[in-house]
Amino acid sequence: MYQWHFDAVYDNWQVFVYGAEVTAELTGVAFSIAVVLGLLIAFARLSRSRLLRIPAAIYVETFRSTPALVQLVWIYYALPIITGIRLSAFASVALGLGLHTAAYFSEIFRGGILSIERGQVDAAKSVGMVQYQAMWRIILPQAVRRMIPPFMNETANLIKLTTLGSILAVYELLHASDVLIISTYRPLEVYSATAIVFAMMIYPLIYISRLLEKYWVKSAR
Amino acid sequence: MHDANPRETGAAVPSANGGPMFAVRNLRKRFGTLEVLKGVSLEVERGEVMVVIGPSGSGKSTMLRCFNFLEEYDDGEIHFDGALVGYRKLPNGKRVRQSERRIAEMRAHMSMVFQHFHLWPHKTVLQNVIEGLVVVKKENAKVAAERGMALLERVGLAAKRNVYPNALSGGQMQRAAIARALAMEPKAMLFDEPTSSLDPELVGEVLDVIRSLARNGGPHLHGTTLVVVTHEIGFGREVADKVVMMDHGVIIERGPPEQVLRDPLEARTRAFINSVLH
Repeated sequence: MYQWHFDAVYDNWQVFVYGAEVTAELTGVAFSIAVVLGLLIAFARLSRSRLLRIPAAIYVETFRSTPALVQLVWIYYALPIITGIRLSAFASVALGLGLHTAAYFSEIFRGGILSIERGQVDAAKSVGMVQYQAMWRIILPQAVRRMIPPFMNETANLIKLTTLGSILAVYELLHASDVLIISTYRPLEVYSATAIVFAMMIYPLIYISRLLEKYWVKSAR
Repeated sequence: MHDANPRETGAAVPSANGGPMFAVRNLRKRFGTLEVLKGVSLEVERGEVMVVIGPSGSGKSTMLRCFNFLEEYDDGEIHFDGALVGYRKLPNGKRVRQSERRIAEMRAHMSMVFQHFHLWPHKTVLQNVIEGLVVVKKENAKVAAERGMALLERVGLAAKRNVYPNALSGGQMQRAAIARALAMEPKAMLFDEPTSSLDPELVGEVLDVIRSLARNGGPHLHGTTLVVVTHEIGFGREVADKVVMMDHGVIIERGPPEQVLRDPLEARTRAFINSVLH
């Protein structure tokens, strides 16, 4: 019978905290990039101008058709060769995941906006609203509610994707755990704790998402 | 019915108050390769109630949506209260689409009531009604609320002011939509098959409201022009000043309701009315 020795975990709790902090930083930077860029790309794809629509579509399909890890190592290894810009491992992962998630966020934003039936906008126009007023007062308030579940889901994915940073030796939670295992020889206990810490970071997001959904059910969909 | 009487062909006949509310000349509209409006001309006088009938696909809804430029027409002209709708004429004779702001300004003087109501589900009934006042006319919130309440009283929905549209019946939703359209104090109101989506027992309450608009304006109206696309022949007989029958993108008959809806000149009109009245 295996003997569990969780003192490897208890004695080294700071490692988990430090790793989680790095994970949070990576997530924070990538998330910020992804939201802003995702919005821009979504509106570009919805625009009347082909000059905006086509590059945006190419961007989205490129980032959705290639694995996140490939994108990260490409930025880390290939970008310096092509452009001379050398990013640290942390920056490569934060930027790469930001660009990657932006593609997915833009699809969520675009889908949410398109899901609002056209008649609502017709009604807005027929009382004399211009496009930005219709977007701000009518479309977005409804679209945002619909976007929340897939948006939270994708954010949770982003947190999980930060573990790819361990491939580039970024000291996020997974990599920190790997290093701890080298000195404690307790992979089972350490990895179990790692999983639990991730769950502690991710589950609250899912919970909040459910709460928001319920809160908004009182007014119409 | 190819007589050259200018009244029939829609050529300009000046009215007492300085011109018709709507003057349509040779209106053409295509969707891709399909020509939906094939040269429509008509006039709607100020304060007039015009009823437009016709089979589906005849272009009547498309024509109505061209009036407030929700659809861009390809050829011909529409003048609303003397001004060209949707386009600006260039000195060299060509024309170019107006700016969004100009078009929106024009639309603020015209309101539309839709077949599927299109109330905004995330706003209460009162909020729906006053949204235009607050956002477009930049009206003070308190004044807007008072006007909104008066309108809701008028359409019989005062008790529902804080309710969301998903809790309303179809008839109530359409009455709220009419109140919303009235809030902007429009010069003209456009009704696109306002009762076609309603259960039969709810049609009457909506027609009552429209009828009251046609008959006695009231403090907010001062003789609003109404253009109603509908299948409700009985309503047309009661309320219309002029009736127009469309089919396949052209007007095939026009005249007073006593003629068009009771004893039409054209066989197609007669056949259509019989089919609608069973």
